[in-house]
Amino acid sequence: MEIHMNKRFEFKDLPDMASIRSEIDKIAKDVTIGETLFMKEKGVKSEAEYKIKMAKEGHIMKHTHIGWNSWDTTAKGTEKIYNELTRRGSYVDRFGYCLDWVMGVPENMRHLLPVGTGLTFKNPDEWAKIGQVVPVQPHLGDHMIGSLNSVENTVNALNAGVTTMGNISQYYTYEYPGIDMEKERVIGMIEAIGVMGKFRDQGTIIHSNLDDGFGAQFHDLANLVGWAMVERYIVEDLLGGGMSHCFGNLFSDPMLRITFSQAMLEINKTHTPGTMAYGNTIDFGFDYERNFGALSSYSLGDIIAQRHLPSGHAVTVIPVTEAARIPSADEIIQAHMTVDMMIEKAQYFEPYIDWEKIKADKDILVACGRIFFERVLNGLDDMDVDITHPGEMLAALKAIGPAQLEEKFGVGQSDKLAMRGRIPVRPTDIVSTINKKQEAITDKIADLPGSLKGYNVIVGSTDVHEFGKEIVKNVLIKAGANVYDLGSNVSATEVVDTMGETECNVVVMSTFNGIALSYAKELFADAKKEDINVKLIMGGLLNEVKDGGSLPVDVKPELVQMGVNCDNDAEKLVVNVKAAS
Amino acid sequence: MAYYVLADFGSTFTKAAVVSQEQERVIFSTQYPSTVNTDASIALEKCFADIEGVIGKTALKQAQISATSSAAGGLRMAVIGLTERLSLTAGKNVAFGAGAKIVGVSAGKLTADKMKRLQAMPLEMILFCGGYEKGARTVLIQNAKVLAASDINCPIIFGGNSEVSHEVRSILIQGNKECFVVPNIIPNVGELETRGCEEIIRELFMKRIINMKGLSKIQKIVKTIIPTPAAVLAAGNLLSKGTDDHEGYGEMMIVDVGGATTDIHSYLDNMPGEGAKLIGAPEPYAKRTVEGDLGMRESSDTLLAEAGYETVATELGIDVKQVHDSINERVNNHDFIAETGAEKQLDQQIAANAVKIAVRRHCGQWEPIHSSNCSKIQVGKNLENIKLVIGTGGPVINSLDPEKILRGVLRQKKDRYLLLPEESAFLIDRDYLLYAVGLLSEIDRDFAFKVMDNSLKSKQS
Repeated sequence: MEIHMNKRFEFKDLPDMASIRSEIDKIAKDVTIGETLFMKEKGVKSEAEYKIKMAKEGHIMKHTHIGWNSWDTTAKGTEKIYNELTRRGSYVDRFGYCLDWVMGVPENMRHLLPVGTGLTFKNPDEWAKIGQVVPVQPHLGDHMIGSLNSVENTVNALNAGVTTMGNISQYYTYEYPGIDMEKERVIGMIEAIGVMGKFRDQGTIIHSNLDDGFGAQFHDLANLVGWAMVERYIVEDLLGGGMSHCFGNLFSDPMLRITFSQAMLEINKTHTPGTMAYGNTIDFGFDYERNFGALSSYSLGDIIAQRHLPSGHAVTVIPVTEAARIPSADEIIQAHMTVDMMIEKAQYFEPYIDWEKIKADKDILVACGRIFFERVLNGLDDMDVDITHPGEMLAALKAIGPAQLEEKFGVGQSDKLAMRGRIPVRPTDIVSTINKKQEAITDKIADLPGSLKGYNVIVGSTDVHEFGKEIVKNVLIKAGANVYDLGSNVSATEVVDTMGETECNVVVMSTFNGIALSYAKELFADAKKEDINVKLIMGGLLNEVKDGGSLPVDVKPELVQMGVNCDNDAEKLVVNVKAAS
Repeated sequence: MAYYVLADFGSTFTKAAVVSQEQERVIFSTQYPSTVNTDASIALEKCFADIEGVIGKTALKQAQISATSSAAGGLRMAVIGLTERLSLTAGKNVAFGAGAKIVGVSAGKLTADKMKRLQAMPLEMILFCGGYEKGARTVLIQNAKVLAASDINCPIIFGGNSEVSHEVRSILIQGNKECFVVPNIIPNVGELETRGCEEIIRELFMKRIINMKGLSKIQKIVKTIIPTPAAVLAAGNLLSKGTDDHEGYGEMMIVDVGGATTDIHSYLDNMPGEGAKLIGAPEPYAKRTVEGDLGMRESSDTLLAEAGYETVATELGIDVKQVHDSINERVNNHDFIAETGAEKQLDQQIAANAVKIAVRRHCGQWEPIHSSNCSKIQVGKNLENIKLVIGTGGPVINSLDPEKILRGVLRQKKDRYLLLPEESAFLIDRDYLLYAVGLLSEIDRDFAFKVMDNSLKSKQS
């Protein structure tokens, strides 16, 4: 079987596991799990201990993400949320703090990255404060384990009393453009997991949000279950950690959320409590009234899942403004009150659910997942990857990529006409939803087929998120355009070179990482040097932190003034591409 | 058949090596001054006479005979692309990989000035490429018209956007230019399709260029003749990757210093260097570059101009006038052989500088850029993981200190942005076998690997 490995480094050069375990021991010696206000109030030594208790008591736990980028704003905001919810008879069990991507690299390299829109801990005191503002347990997912600063961040977090951290999935898809020390990244990651493993009996949990990694790119849920088994094998069997899988960003169907939750529970042989089920962000858009519906529907599914077979996963409360901006404390509180109503009413749905049907679906996913897992391990072994070395496994899997993993090891029936050569056992919601969204968009565009025949368009994404780009690309292809897809993390230089090879000056760029204005300026400047006139159409989150500010602000007016099309509406794509050409 | 006879028609010497199937090694080699300018078979027959004396007439008659040629300066090509980082780089890599020496390049619109410069060059072939499929058209057609109207008198290979290939070919034919169309070498983003192009370059070399080099008689005796650099590239590829039965040497380089050029071959996957986003045309696993201005004799003056006459004089502790005089001697007399200690020292320095400069043109580099989503980009091939350097070519093999010459590939403090190895092992091809192994690899890869491996290991001291 021919598999192309897109290696970032020679993984046979990784240190042997004896050396790595020795390093893990050294690091772990200087770690003491701190005590947060949450632990004090609840009388527990770890969040895992609390989750096990709450699962027994039938308490539905709630999680909220916090995305402000200064500690002062974060401390004030979390205080307000906690106090107001308490006042109104509500509650929140855990806060997920969104670190800025600069935190994912060693401190001496942070100047190489433009600051994004997340939180930065500038000194050990700020790390220590994270659990000392309100009695709500902190969770740290982004830019921790799997980043370029895995060990330092893990140690700081444990010392601060944070016992749950991620995010294994991000190793596969999150990049730090300009700082690409892949070998060191893998070593740091497995050392960090190993350190967490040393404290597993004290309740540490290693988190992986499947939808942040290959999960977002798999087409078949059965393969995704198998992929979760692969991650468990690496984290638990090879490194002694306790693994929890989060999912949900890309799960739109509430019943599917319940089914998948049960599948994750079944493959969890170490009985590690779940972190959280993340909210379904596919259905979140700029219509806040619709977003209330999305919030209610996914949280209902998650609540019912936890009521029926508690796994420890908290329900993630996502404010309705999430797609438009970083939500305010009031908007977070508002969303909690909505979810509280769903918690109250879930009990009435539960008795009428066909649990046998859910179990049957779950059994298929788990059985097929096992086949995928075995195929992947056997396949790697055949390719001379040491499947007892977690570093080789991680690097090889990343080098192979999700498309090849599904094509070569997937469990779906072979079919030359199917995407990736296999009919999915159960298509992911993202595949179904992209298809439905595309269909909805394409249905609304009059006379779409052939409307852009002969037009050339360059598409790309300035960051890791490809979802928006994929929809745009497929609409353009359906319209008959020739599409040159530059993928993700696209530099302005690449765009200009591609314009030279295509004589195409229409560029559609998706952006979600808060650099819209700078990127546009850079692209125009580079194009001018080559005497090329670029027509830029931008979509996504058109914001940026401007000089002197701490929050990203809308930069559409400036972009429009530069001549950038900011309609941000896929239904107008054909008209806009024609106008730009 | 018990023997392979592998010949090389160089500018200075015609060489022949005899490889024993049974012993899996070279048992005899010989060479005579090249007669390629008159009748190439003369020198070859002399080599055969020597060989007959060793293995006998019957064995020689039964031996499989193949040859390489770098005669009369090798295959001289120009590459015309659209963008430097994409089509031009891809075109150059294809041409180098096919064994050519690139004497001219152009990116973007082919202006009158650029065309004038190309016309003045001794071109034997042009690779005209660029445009993703269904992409660029206008500039390609404009460039075709400029080429058609020029005085260029060599085959033109079009390996660009196939949508315009008919039109381009028609324009060139109407301008009395010979045009061959091959599949687009960069059909789409991140894709490289080089086989068709490499094959036609080699075929044209075999059928046309060789005839012009006095080698037409040879084709009755020798079944296959390929460009010497292509054979060396193939040999390196074999050594690096190994075979099913032999583990390869892994990430390695071959440094070949000659009278007219310095060739660098690198064999490893291109990976992003620390802190860089990889952009530009995909780099091949086996990559070759040829520096036509960095040779030991006919281009020693351009080499010294780049290295600096003062610098070399200081390195040797001699007067700069002495260096000028010695270099003039070499430029005017390509057969010059260093006999005194001082001249040998100078040859050592020339070779060392040739390697230092050539490898720094071959390697990739990262460029710091002030970008909103990227602060470093990498263009070209990352050589940081090279573990072995093999030196070949008379100026290296016969020098006072071959390893010292090869150590020029290692990164120095001033190489801030260059992707070079920090340290490496070094081997010398003392049997001049690389071209021969490249030929053998077309016949029996395992056997070829063993022969080269045996030679390299037996010569290690």
